[in-house]
Amino acid sequence: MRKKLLDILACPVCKGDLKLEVKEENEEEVLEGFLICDNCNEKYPIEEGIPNLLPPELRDKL
Amino acid sequence: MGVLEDKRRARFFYKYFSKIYDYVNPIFYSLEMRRKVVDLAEISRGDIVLEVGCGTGFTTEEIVARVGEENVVAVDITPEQMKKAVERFRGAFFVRGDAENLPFKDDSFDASISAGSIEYWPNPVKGIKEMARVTKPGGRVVILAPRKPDNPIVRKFAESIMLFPSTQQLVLWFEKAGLSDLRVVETGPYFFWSKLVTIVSGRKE
Repeated sequence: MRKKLLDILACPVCKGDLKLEVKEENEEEVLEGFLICDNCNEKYPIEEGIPNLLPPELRDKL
Repeated sequence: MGVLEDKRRARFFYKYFSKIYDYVNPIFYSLEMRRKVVDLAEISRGDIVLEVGCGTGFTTEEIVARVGEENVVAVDITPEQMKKAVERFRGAFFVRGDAENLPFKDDSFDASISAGSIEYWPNPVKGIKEMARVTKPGGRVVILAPRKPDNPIVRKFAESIMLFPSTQQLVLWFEKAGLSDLRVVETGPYFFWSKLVTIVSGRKE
């Protein structure tokens, strides 16, 4: 995930702003990490460079 | 309720179907139909465009050709399908997400497009409202849906698989989502199958 995308991303549930927590990155993008909602504190994983922003109950079901 | 009209079932269906999807899909969805979908979004180079349900990237390809890779954000629920699109368009942005709970701020895109995805949404009005929310005022929301078949026997079979809204139903959903200046096109891949899908485009006020 390139960091520029953060400008338009929001929490899928409460639409709050997200902050980025990087675990692994290269010059271009974040490969592993988390997006954390400032408002409701929900934590969304970034997996192999793709943010998984499914609502938590759907993420656990699929 | 059809067998695929459930996110979990649709997700597992596509996990395996993704292997042959690119061979089967052109039978139902032609290049001409794809051009029509993107035409109705009224986009031009530099516009920021959202695609909901990008799958392997068939419609994404047309959007990329119009606005450039770096201006396309594509969402899908199925990582196996999306993986192919990610490899094809390295410069585009990909997000795993749900149409009815879009992970974007209000007024983020110049247009939002979804082709062949609404038939899997349990709450289509919520999905259309979400697409409208993230689209900038003046921008367009465009959806292609499989059309309710006219033949009652074919219709019964089709509806046992997934949602096939009538054109009137789609228009009503767009109105409920607050979209205006609606344009409707019924089309198909062949002369003898010319009303397979409905495309609706609406403007956000």
